[in-house]
Amino acid sequence: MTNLNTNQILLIFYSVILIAFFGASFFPIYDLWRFGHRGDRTRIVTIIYVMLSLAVIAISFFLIITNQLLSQI
Amino acid sequence: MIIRKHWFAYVPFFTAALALAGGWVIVMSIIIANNVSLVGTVGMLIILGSSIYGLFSLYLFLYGFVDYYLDTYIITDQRIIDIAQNGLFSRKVSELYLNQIQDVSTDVSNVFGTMLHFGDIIIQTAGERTNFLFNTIGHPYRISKLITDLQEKYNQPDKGDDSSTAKKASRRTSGNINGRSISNLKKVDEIELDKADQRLIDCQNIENLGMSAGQIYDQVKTTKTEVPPVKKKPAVVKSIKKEEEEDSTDNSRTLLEGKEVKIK
Repeated sequence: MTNLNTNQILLIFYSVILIAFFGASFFPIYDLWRFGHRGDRTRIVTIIYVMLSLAVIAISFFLIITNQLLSQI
Repeated sequence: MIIRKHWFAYVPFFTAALALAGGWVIVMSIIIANNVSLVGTVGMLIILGSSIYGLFSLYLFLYGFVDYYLDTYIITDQRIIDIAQNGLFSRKVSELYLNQIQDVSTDVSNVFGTMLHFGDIIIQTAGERTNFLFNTIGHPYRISKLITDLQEKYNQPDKGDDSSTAKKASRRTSGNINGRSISNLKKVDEIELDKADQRLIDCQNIENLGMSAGQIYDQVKTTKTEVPPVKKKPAVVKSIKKEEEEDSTDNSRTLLEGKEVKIK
């Protein structure tokens, strides 16, 4: 079995957290979207929530890649 | 009429989520300002920890909103429906017919409730059913009065009203036709439910216009008299004594086939 370094273990842990996060928020978000109507606050909240969470995930992955690249130099 | 909680019910969740997000921003700015290296395992730990923290604060924001927005109370001219959203995935739906209401009381308990016009409504029910609690809703006095008005109207049979005629028809036929009464009652109830659903759609349309609870109340009060009669087969009248004389099995068959029954 391949030995994993600390960074890889952390990444796997983070991936599990992300999957749990998407799993826990997908159905409520879908429910809110279905329950809401165009232009009301439900749609606005779902869009803000999805955009912000994706932004956080994108920034963290960007920093992780930068971290990996810098540590290899 | 769909009633949601007052926006003040969302304030604790929103404040907590905002405080978490604010704390996250402050910690991250301190890290960046102090030139803490994000390279290596420690850096990785900081990145992943902070992103999990950020996602958790967003999740709290969503949790609060779902709990606030999907927790609804629906009032029709026949019944009250309580959809209690518990967390993200669990919800409980309870129904209460207006004739089961024994007492409606309003509770405005604190200074915010008095200033911002929100409070609780407790509906005591007949029998062993648990009481209905409308928690943190806007304009509780108006809603309470609306419920009592609807209950009064529901309990007073109107001669010209189709629904009361249908109710009478259901009561009488249920007495005569043993074993087959439930299906007939269901048929009558379906008509009532259609009417209630139509009223709900109307109320949703009102709500989509962005009206407040007070405006919806006024709208419902004014439109109550303007609601056109529901297009359905008119309940025609027939003597009960004649029904009793007739063969009950034949009578039940005609009812089940959807034919009209006459009741005087």
